[in-house]
Amino acid sequence: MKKYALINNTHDQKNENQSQLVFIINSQSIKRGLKFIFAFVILYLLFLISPYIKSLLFSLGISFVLSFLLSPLVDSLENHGLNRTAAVILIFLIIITAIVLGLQFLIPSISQEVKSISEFIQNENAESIIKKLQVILADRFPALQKPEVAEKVSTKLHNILTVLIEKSSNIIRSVLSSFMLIITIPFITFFFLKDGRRIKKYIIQLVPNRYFEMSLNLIHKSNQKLGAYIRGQLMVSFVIGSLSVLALFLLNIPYFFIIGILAGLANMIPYFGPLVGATPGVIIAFIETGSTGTMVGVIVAFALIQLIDNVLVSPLIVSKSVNIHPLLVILVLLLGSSIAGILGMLIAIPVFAVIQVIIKEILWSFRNYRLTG
Amino acid sequence: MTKVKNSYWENIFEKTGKTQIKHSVILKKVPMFSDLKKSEIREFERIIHHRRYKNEEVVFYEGEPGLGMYMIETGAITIFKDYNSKKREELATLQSGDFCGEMALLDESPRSATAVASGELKLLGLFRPDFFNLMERKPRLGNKILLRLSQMIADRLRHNNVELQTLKQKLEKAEILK
Repeated sequence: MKKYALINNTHDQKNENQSQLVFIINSQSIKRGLKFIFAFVILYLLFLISPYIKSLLFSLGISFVLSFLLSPLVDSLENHGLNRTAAVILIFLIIITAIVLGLQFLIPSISQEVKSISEFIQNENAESIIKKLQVILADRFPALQKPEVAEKVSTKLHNILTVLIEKSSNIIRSVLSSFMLIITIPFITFFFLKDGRRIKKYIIQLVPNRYFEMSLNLIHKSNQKLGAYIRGQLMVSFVIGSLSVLALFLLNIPYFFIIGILAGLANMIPYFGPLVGATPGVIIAFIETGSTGTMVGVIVAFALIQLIDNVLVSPLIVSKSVNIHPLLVILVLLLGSSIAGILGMLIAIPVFAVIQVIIKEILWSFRNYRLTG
Repeated sequence: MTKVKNSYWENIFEKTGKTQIKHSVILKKVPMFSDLKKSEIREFERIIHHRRYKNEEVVFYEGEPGLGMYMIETGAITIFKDYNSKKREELATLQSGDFCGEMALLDESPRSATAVASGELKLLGLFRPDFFNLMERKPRLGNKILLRLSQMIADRLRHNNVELQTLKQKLEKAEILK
């Protein structure tokens, strides 16, 4: 402004032109500043209302991921001459049939396992489990019978198990309370699959001309990378989950199916996932069988599965485009758990990976496109 | 033709009534689509984007990664080399039914020139991601378009070769005269 005032005070033609230029630059900066403030206010308002529309955002997010996963199938049916709506309906029918058939086979064992686990949670409390463990541990390790050592171990175990049991009841509660999601998610997914292209076209229509090509490119590249990442992660989880179920079944561990699925899902968390996935298996093997041999067997089985994952499965399936530093993993996991508990921890890394890909593409676009006229 | 006051809002609230020129007519004017059936043209109508520009608004800049081709619905585009420098050179003016940027349908190589709206401009844009997606969904249609695109590029290459040959001969003559 000082420069503007100085130029404005002079009277020759050249300086007048310069003052006009500075004035134009200043008014442009003010406009840009106002736009920035406006965008910031909108983002802040969205942040403020986000807790109230949490379940809606969650449904939209899950539906988005599902439509991402299913769209290649719909596309391939469309290639075979089916129109898109018919292709989506066919895919939905196939999935519903698969779920119904799958449940017919699996319901007896799953319901048995869920029933036993809920009975286990209802009947047992932290104290009774500690007592059981104390008996087993005292039997295996006589050194623990010393009162001070036993006391310390007992306190530690008590704390860990209390937290674990509290969290598991939370999971069950959240599964029951999210029954609405089971209805809304397929509904939204259906329309995302059917009208996805039209929705994308409408959104891109809102973008100003200057950023139009850049945005289209950004959406396309992020789509490609995210699709590959999400599909890859789910494939790995499926393989790890199946191997875990098989290993636990062979080792005759109770609740093998649920523990195996949890191990597969937890595998999505880098570095700590395998540990988180193996822990319930190891604890249940020890509590239920009381045999150190079985417990070691479970540990060896999970270690072997991890070896297969790192050497064979992940390098073949998962795109290496998303690499996250271990320290960042811890921070992201903490943030995830503070926002949405265990579920937050589970989805924190994939969500972070998604954001990372988008930021990378935005930076690439900033480097390659002229953003000012 | 309606006046484009603000291209941003015009792009959002574009009228789709009878006044709008049939896009298939524009598409048919482009050699790439000229021999397509009605149903095939409809496939392209679904994936093209409609954009409005005001006078002197830049459509794309030289050096930016190319994303696709533009067909002029109404108005005109001026193509410039070195648009933002003192050496600015006007290369061509394209009118309704003309097209530009078709090479960007094949790869992401940088735009070779800057395209600027001369007056109020309405464009139809066909972009690589949508085009590749269409090729995956309708390989036969995709092959048809790719073949036409290759023929257009081959024609241009032949024309350039002839021009190059003529220039070479002129240069040789000039050397002899010296």
